[in-house]
Amino acid sequence: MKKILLYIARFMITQYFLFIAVNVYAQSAHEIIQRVDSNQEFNSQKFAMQMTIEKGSQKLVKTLAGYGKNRGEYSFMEFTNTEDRGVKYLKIKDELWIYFPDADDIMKISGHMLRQGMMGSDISYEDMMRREELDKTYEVKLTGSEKVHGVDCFVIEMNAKIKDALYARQIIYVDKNTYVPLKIEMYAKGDRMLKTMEEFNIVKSGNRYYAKKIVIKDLRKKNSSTTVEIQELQFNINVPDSVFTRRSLRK
Amino acid sequence: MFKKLYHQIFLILVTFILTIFYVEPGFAQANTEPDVEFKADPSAKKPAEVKISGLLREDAYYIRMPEPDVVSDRKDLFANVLETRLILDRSREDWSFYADGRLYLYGGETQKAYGTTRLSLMRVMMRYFSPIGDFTIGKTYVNFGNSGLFNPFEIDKKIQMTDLQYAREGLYAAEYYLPWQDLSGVKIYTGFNDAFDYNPMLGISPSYHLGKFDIGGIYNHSDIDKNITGFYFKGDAILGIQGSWGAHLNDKLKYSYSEISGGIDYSFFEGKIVTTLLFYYNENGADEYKKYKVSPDSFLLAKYYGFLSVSWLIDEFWSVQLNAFMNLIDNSAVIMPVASFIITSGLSVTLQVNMVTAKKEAEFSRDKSGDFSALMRVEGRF
Repeated sequence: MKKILLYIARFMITQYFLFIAVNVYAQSAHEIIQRVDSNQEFNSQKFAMQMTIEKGSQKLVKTLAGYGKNRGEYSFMEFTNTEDRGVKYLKIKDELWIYFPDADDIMKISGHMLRQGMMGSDISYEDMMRREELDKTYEVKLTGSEKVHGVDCFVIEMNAKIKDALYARQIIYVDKNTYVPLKIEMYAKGDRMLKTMEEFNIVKSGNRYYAKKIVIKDLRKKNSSTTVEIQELQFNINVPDSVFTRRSLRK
Repeated sequence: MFKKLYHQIFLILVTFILTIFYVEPGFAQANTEPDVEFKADPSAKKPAEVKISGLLREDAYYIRMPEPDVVSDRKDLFANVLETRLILDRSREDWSFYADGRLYLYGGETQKAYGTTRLSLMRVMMRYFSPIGDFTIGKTYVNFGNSGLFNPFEIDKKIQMTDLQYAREGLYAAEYYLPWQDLSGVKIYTGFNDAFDYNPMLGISPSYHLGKFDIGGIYNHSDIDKNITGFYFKGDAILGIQGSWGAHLNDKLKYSYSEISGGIDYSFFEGKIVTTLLFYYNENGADEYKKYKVSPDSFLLAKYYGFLSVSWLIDEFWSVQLNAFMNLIDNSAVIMPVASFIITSGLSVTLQVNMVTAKKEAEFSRDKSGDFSALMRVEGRF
């Protein structure tokens, strides 16, 4: 009898610690993702960047500047490189308008085109202009630790829990100190890896960290990559609502 | 010809002088009293420096005719257009100035049609962004409706089926745009065409954003009694959808007819393949090929047309496109495969081939357009 009681007690203690461990682990994944989200959280944003599109030895360089609001729900950008100078984009939620200075005209772009590579790059309009709230969009699971660029990272698997998610599955490698994802693998519904994103030159701005250099590879293209280098980035500045209007495209 | 050339030179000189003497009032005040909100506005481009940019474009055409040309007695015809484009742009938070001047050098068949050189001032305009709306004055584009081949509302429409991007000159016009809400507004304009030989044009177009659609109404008066009214829309319902309806109400309603266009577009494989299908109806067009007549009121001959385009963005540098423009009355078509390659930033090369499917009286026939034609374009921007 004593043995049975001892066995039950052992079993309950084991189960208790197992329960605690599982919950702590699950909670950690959420906490990590919330920290990642808070790094990316912004009410408004001002940016200037250079985008280098490479395929083998061929290279295209584009420069652009713009503004964002509500995690990219509202976005306005203008190209400043020679061949695209004056081309402007306005995105409001999932609608996009483009201004062409050669025609002095504004065109509404169909929503399905938002998944197209922006200006021929490996970054889609959605990748560029939308910041998903990861914790609300994906089921997250901490699967272990791994070093990326020599930095110790959490490895988190994320599966889309809403239909509207940009990718069906993502695996992100989050820096344990800064909570910046140093590497992201993006998968389609059939679990085919579509893109990888690596982040370098992590800097601190206020309470948040962000990468100054991001390299994106679309794995469906051979020898192809797009490098985004942030030249200027300011968060939570006062951007007037008038920026995100059709009128400002012609300014 | 010389009169026109002097006219263009005069306009270009005026353009340069305007740019040089254009002073920005209030610039100093803006610098001494910085305002966070003002700084964050992307239209606040200070200092208002003159930006000069341009384009050098070489177009080489080849046309194979079924019968020898009457003048040259040759079946193989060549043409060449070298375009130099210079753009001056100066803008600040409440003003902008834009001028686009072009010099064309012609060779081969185009030289016979246009002479050796042609100067053209496509646009020269100033725009003032006031608290009560935007005012534009000068030689400018006045855009109404959904841009494209079948837009019934395009003012001074000139279409070349075989050109990749047809260029048009602006109107001498004054335009006012009153925004209301973020994506809606009213555009009003009055203007003249290049020759100043008709009554002033006058138009109004309110536009509104509803759901995922841009919708708008238009009334435009041109010539002595030439009027068009109607509406257009463009938006999303899984597919991209667009449509226009224009009613021409001319000569005190004695000469009235309608134009309707509609289309859908969709993309596959993350936007790598883009398809567009458009339909066009012109009540004034002929319903059989024997009734075809060239009219200044219409740039097409038949009642029904279709347009199909499939674009494939192969990678960052290569893209191919297949366009088919069909006359649905005589069942003729012009099929245009296009391949484009970006050599490096700002430098690209494009090859377009035009093939027609019909013979003799049909609109797109070998007897009228040649068995085959090809265009090679090399374009550099600076």
